[in-house]
Amino acid sequence: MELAIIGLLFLGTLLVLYGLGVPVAVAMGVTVITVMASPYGPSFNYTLISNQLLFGLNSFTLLAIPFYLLLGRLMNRSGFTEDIFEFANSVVGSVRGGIGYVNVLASLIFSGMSGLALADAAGLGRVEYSVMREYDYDKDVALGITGGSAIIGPIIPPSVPIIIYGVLAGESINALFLAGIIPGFLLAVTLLLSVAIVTRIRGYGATGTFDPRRVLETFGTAAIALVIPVLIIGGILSGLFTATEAGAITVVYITISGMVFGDLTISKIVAETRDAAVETFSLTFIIAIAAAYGLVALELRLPMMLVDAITGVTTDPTYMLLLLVALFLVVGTFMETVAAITVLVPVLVPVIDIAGIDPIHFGIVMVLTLMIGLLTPPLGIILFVLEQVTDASLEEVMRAIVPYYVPLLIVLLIIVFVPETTTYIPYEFL
Amino acid sequence: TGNGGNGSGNGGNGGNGGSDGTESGSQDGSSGGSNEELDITLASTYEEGHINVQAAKMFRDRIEDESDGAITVEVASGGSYGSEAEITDLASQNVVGMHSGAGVPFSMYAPEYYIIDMPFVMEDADHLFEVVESEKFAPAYDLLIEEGNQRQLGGRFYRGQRYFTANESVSHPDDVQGMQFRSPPLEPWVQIWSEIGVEPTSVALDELFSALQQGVVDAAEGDIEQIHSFNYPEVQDYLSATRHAPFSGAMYMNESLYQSLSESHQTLVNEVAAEVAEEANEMGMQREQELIDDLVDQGMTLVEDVDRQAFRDRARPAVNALFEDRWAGTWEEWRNV
Amino acid sequence: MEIDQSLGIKRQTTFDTIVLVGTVGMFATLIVLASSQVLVRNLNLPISLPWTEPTSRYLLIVATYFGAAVASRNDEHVRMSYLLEKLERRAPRVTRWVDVINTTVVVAFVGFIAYGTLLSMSANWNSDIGGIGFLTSGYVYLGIALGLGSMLVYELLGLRTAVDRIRTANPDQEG
Ligand code: NA
Ligand code: NA
Repeated sequence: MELAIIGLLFLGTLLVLYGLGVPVAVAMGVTVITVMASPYGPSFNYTLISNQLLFGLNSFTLLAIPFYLLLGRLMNRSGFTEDIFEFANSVVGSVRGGIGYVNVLASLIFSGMSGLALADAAGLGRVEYSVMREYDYDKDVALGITGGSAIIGPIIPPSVPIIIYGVLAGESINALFLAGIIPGFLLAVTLLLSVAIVTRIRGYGATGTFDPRRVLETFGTAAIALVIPVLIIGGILSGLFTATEAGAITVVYITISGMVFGDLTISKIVAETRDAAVETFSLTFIIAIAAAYGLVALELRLPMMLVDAITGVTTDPTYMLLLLVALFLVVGTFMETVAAITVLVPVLVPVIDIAGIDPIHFGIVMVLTLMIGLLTPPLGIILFVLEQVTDASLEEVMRAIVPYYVPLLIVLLIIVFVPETTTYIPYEFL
Repeated sequence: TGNGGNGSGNGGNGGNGGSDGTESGSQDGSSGGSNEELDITLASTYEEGHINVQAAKMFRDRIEDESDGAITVEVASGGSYGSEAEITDLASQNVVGMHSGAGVPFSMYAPEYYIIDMPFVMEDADHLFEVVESEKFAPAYDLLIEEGNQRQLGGRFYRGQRYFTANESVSHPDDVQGMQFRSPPLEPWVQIWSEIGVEPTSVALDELFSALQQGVVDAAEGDIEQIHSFNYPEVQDYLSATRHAPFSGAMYMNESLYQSLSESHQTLVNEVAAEVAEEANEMGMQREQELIDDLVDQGMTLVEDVDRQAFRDRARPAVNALFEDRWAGTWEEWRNV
Repeated sequence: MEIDQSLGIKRQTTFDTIVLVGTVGMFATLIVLASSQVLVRNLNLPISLPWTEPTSRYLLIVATYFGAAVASRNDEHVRMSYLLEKLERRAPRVTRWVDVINTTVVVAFVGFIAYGTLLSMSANWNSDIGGIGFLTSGYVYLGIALGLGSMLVYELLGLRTAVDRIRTANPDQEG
């Protein structure tokens, strides 16, 4: 009974405030105050939240976030994003359904530079969608492939959600980054298969002829951008630098080459820095308040109660993971990714520890599941972005995405049942 | 059994309705008398198995036993409440009732007395304990109460010396000149080590392993527990017995909570904490040698023959300057306590 | 094809300029500090910058709350606006009231944590935070308090706008 009331206070207050459109951070904070003020909560404390405003953010690893947010923006602004698209198009654009494959491959390449799915959907997504429409692809196909492939971004390193998971779970960011490589490629492969199937059903033709000179030409312009994933993943793999350092170096690299070879000007750099600052700090603001939310949950021993509840159902790691995936799918549909990670990770780390689930494996499963949540109504942010950057309505976007849940969920299940898909590379190479 | 323990803990919490809990009991001033019931959160940033956590658990078992269940303790280890600095702050703000850690409360609330964890300041473990038990150090404990709203319970216990690690044998300050060295990000540490001649570099602790692996830094240092748990043997060949800072731990209690205890319970927690500290102290002494042996088994070469006097002499100008600008007393005074 | 990813950050008053320039300045400093640390280390330059690590950590903390103020000014906080937008189409008058309630909640919350921050600031004015000599946690809390103060100003202005919208709304239009 008491557990039910506490649970209701914790989630109910939060959800009502979400629904009203109160900012995520404030909704969490007000929930903390409500719980503290209730007779069931810990004693009322004015400084509990302010303490977390400082200590919740006192981590050097969080500094990777500004780098990768700025990097995605500079890529889009300097024209390199389109260069990547042109290159992918020159390579596979000539086969049947070619532009669909281009859509997936361009996202795969871009994901090696961007830390957020939104950077893909908002930047590359706009280009991909309009080119597909120009070649007379159906609206739903163009929307579906663009949206589905946008979530490859945060699985392939670098990734902002993975950084946040690593910070909160106390796991190595380098290992987590490497763990995402195979799942990212699995996503790309299943989406390419989906394109093949759709091409067959709708009977799409080729969109150009293959010209080796054109491939070389576009490779020449795209090479500057293509270096970046090699720099980031190679640098981490070879132990040359850490994930945070890789972010710093690529920002310096793209700024210089963008000014020399691209369309980057000082005023554009200033504008992108300004916008990246606002984006960064709205995320870290949530992280700080979510730390207070986690602290109050801890004071009420919610994590321990949850451990009891879950271990009461099953102690088998795989089934427990499936149970948690179901939880993330539900949470991911109404909670913003960063907010979900910051609230759940501190609570769940003791659970997976007891169950013997590998924390690296768990992190990738969690991020992928929450990414699928980004495509799910009502709060699936990618849906809103696609509505914004295309001529489609929100209803059209939502309907178009539905068939692409199938390949995404298949990949999710493969990763849940085969932990080696995530753990092989980091354990073999680090 | 762990689950059962959690279950009963929750029940206890529910029975109290939270209003007799750790912190509100003190704020409301509602508790007191001999039939008080208390549920204390005892936090530690260290992992299960660490000497600070072992001490915490010993304290829990004994206090629950000897108070006949009137006082229950929940040990929250592994940093669920955050870093040591964060936990110390939470203790000052009545969020956690007790914590078990190193010297961070002194660094925050009595910085002029935070000489205890500093490199090349204490002669050895014996000297450290003479210092912390001396009349001259007593104001530090008062500052903890006045500035940090928390008190040390029982004595301090030995956690082991700090050692220097590198890929070459280090036995004299001349051996470390110009080395890229990972120092804890504390200003006095950086000043003292710079004086000795290394190049202190800032690397976050969780990135230290890969930094050593790729040669971003050549050398590091740490207490044996840290060197052991961060797998230094995989990336460093030599363990030099510089023994530059004897580390100690202690348990701390929120002052408002302490004042809300009945007199008999105050006596009880003090007695139990003192007993536990003494035992932890012996465990610490023993454990240090065991962990060194294990590191040697893992392939590290122990350099026992270190000219520690040469290191101390080299450090001296920086240490003296720190005593002049920052710390209470002089080096001479503390050496003669 | 021009990619439009601009947030359209507003800068109309001197106060806007101070908060925005402060935020972006801190952000840029963060980037420069962390990059230079990496470069110094990887290029094996004969200097060491051990103070950059704590400095960039504390800068990120303080900048967050100035950034939150800029987000308040430009309505860039992460929030679920979907239900509200649906409501907007059906019952604009109700939406205006919900707006007022929301902003009041935000104002009350920011006021609460700003007050808590002031308490933490005075309790920790002399508490050494480690890393940088003169810096105490009290100073960091002061930085946080200033950021939250700016956020409070913007939220109060937002509340006034929201209330004005109710007062000036023409009831005839909605029947
Ligand atoms: Na795509
Ligand atoms: Na990515």
